[in-house]
Amino acid sequence: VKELKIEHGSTAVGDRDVSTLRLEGYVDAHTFTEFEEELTRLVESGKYNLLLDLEKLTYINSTGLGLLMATFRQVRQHGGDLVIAKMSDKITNIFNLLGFSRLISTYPTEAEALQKFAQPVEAE
Amino acid sequence: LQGHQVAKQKDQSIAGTEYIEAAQVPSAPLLVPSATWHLALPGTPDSLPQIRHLVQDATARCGFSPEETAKIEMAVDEACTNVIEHAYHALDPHLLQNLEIEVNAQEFADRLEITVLDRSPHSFPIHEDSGIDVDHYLAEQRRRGLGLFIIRSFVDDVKHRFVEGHGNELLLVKYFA
Repeated sequence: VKELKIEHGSTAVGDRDVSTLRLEGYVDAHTFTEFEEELTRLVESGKYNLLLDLEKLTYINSTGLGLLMATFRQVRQHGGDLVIAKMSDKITNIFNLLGFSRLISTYPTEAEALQKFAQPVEAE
Repeated sequence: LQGHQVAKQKDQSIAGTEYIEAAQVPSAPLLVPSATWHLALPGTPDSLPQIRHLVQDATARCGFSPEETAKIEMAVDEACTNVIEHAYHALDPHLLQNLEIEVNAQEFADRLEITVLDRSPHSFPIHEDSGIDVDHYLAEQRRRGLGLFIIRSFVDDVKHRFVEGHGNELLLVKYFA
């Protein structure tokens, strides 16, 4: 498995253009910069509707989780959203333990995650 | 280690590192490990996957659940990341060459102990009040600072000691349920 592979896609949901990132590998101190650059590039280019498919992500460290949370807050400020699909049981467990699931929505499939963008953004 | 039987031993390709898995000891009272794992790697981020692999091997042998395994793996990864990004990063670049990070795991009758050793000339203790808890982290919209909280809360006991001339030794202990 490559250290971190990020595949891009996009889907129109109503009048919103949802950018999908499918992550394969792991996010740790070695690969964090690559992950950060991808998310920063998307947000800076005005992509505020983000769906992260984490099915093939085997590990994410605290800095990676912090980046997810910071990006979530950033896109929310612009009327967008960040949701997660297909997160492994292992990462879901960590996500729940740290309380991130209180803020960021997770779904078992990409199709269900995309439906979130058909709804108005809720206040935090 | 007379009488100990090395169950499996393999050489890793990185920097001639020797990775010994599960050196088994016939009897396992509380003070003698029944299995040990050892890894010494360059103190760089690309060593982290091998360290996580060692943790997975050790937790699998100890019979930890996937949930507990994920927590121990993350605590060790965060501890090693601290060494690489803070303890070593603060040093003169000329000193960074050949600086290793060493990870030892030991299975005892009632617990798994994992020790992370660095070669920093400075002490980097994990204080009780270091880091930030999750509620403050989320409320304050922090982006960093969660690592120390994870180290302290994802295992049962954390002990630090600094040995002059050697470096920091961080002991992480997880008891069997």
